[in-house]
Amino acid sequence: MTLLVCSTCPRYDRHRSGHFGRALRRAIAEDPRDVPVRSVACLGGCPDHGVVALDGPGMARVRFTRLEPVDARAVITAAQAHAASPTGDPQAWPVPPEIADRLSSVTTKRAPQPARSHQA
Amino acid sequence: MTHVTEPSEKTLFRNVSILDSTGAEPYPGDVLVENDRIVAVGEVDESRAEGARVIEGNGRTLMSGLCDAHTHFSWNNSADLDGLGTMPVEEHLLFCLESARTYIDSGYTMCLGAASAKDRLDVVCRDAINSGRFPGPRYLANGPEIAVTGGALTHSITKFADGPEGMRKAVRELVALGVDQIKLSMTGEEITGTQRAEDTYFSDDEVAAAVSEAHRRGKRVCAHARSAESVKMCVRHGVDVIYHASFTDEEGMDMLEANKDWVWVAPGLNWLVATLYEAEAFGFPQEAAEAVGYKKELDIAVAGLREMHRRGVRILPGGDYGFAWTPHGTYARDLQHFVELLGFTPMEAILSATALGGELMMRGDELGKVQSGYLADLILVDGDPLADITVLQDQDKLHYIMKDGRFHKEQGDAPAPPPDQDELVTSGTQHVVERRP
Repeated sequence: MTLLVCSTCPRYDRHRSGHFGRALRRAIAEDPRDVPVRSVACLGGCPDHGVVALDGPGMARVRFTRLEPVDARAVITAAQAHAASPTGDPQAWPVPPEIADRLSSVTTKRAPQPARSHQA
Repeated sequence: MTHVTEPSEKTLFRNVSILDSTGAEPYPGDVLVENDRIVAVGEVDESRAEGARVIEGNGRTLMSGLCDAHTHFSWNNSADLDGLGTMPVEEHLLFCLESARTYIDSGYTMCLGAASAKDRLDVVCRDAINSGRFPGPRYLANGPEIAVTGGALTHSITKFADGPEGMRKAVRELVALGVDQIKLSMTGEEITGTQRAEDTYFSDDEVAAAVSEAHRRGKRVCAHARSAESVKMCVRHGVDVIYHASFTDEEGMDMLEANKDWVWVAPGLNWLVATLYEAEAFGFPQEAAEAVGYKKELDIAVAGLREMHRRGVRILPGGDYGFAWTPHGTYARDLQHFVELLGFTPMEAILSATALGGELMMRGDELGKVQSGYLADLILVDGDPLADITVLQDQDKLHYIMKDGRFHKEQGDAPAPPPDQDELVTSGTQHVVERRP
């Protein structure tokens, strides 16, 4: 499991300070729970910064927007629940109510169709 | 005659995990760079490394810089297609130069231009990079994409041509601009709302004329080709790089396999994934994306690409980045898609992005591998991309980026500054080289 944190939020900040990611990572580091964090350049939720996503091999990528560093605790809780679920799909794990209304996308890593499913 | 010996610049990467892009598992060793070339890999003779600047790898991964096979410097992170064409040319050029820098900041040292929103943006950027005026990857420049009347995805970024002679003239005009390749926009794109991905707008005669004219001038041809028919047209007439190939049918699959020694497929997967699932904040919710067919296209494309992979067709990462929901800087997400959606091993994904990238750039004997004699386009990664391919998405983990033997980025081993310096634009001890030769 990986917690992806946007390093460029807010995108439309003309100073490109990336202050959201740094502040959130600091807040996460202060939490005793150990969560792997990966900085990435944008998660595409830009009008509603700050943005994080929960991801893992074969797991649904679940994105939250409109976050603040104060949401770090709920983000970690969500990351751990996501990791413990079989698919990552938020219907399969309890989304913390503090951030449930800020869930902005679920990217399914859909299993491919049978081998000959491309058009005949 | 007096022979003057130029002083050499040497860099020794010591104690690195060498991911050499030959397919071999990474192995520990040293890599010596002299001027712009790698001159020794593995065990480096001490005398040969004398005077070299030493970078202590401490087991970090040293690998080739990456290649993006579907690059648009001029796609300006717009939230719609029209936004690609409305930016004034002066601002647009600045944006392109920023894109170029973002690519190399992201570890990409090779990019294949897949169309330019205005005539000379790509060409000017390529030349500026090559002359050392601005940082960026090695770049093969394109011009505006060619479409037939009624077949453009966006009028303002299109060069229109009709009929074989029209195609020849359009190609000649683009060659005169200085492009390295020609882009044909052969099919629709569902997000337009009117141009269907499964529709094919070019005729065989038009594709044949464009390709023959381009090849006559030594230029590559690439094509936006989503429909089954367009893929077959590409193979029939020698289009070198097929973009998307979403709806490839059985006949097309056989044709690709039969011609896999020369044809490339670059699906631009992240566009499909992000447009389907992640564009709602920009006015294109998942329901709308599904309604126009992106879910169906992604399913069919993934199945087809898996089949291509099984048959040994060369598939390259490169994702059409540069829209609001697929912004510049997120390029390495394509490698994750290759692993998770297409079933590539991480090694296969990296080989596609490096060794095959070198071949795509038409310099397979000197780009894309960590081998003696190759150009020193290298990245030192704090992590193991074979264990976690997503590490390549984290620019903070790309500690050193080198192109042509010169550092674009150097990150020392000192600890990051105190965390209260929110005002700083960059963090840590990262130093991006500003001065060019």
